Amino acid sequence: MSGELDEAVRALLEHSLRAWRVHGKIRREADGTWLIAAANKRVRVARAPPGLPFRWTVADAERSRTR
Amino acid sequence: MIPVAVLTGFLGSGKTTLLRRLLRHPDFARTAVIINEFGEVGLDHDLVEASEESLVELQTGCLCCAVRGDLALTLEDLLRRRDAGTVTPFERVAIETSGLADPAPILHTLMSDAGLARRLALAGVVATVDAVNGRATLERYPQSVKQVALADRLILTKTDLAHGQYADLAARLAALNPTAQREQASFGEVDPARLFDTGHPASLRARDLSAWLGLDAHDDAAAAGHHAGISCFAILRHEPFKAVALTLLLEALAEHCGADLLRLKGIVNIAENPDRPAVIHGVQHVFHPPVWLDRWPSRDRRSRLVCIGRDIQQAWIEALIHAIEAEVAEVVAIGA
Repeated sequence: MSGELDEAVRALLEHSLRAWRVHGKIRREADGTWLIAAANKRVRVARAPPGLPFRWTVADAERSRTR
Repeated sequence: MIPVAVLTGFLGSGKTTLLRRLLRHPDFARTAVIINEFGEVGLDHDLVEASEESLVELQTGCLCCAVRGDLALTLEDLLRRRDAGTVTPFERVAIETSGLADPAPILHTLMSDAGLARRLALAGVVATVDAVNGRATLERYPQSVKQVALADRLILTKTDLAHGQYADLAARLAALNPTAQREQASFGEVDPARLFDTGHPASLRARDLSAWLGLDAHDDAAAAGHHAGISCFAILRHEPFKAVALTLLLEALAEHCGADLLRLKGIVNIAENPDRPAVIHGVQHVFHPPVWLDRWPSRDRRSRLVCIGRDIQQAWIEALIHAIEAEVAEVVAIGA
């Protein structure tokens, strides 16, 4: 992930929590996954593995979504 | 394209009084007016030229049509009759909403019904506001707030009864919808042209386009306001948008903001077509196809997006734009 995209994703996640008035924390893990801990949930935003027809996955404990 | 004005306003705001006067006005000829019930408008017998169950032709040259269940079907039927020559060849349409109505579904019908969108163009939303009771109405009734927030033009009625005591109301209207043009009407008197000259983007002149966007063409400052959870702000950008980035942005806004995105309108510099700006217009989750202008209305080629929404933050939209553009740039770089 490019540095600019890295920063843009972090900023968007932070602004999203503020916009939705949800207290939470955002952390980037060693493998590049974004972990958002908020409102008693833990959501992981990650790059999809190569070769798949989508670029991102969003997962919480029960379900995942792709983009 | 036949322009369509939507006339809205809360109960008792003077909407029907205004409409009743317009129906008698010679300059309102060749207008098809769609109302909920004939009884509400109170058409005088001396005004009626011909009538049937749901359609009345007036001596002034107006057509008055009562909605029969579905607005889209009513409009289609009206257009069919016009094409067949069985009604006055009206040149514009005015749709009166009920006093408690949310105008958004009407706008969605006009914007998203393919058959109607080929023949009809939204000319704007005009909302009446009672100068005497409007302030209290805005406090108590969310429907009235939405009617004002969606309007292109606000007509302050009963100003003769308010005795000049409506500065507070005017300030609230400005905070709720700083982009709407505002004027006053006493005893329901208004120039019929004012219903239709809020502007369809493709026909807007430079001055009107700036007014439609709520921005002064000579001033970088964007109109902004906040009232009752509704905020209005403008995003100005020097950098052109890549077409795919704009598409992704509008999709993201529609998906994540939905009904809270009351209105989004703007003029956008598209990187792939910098000499022809795109005018965009959305109501909640429905976006009108972009209108491409032949040229920029002025030397200012910045993109300007005006957003009126509930609990939508400008910083969030700007962060979203930045993230989408970074994503698009990475995809382009990979593909290069």
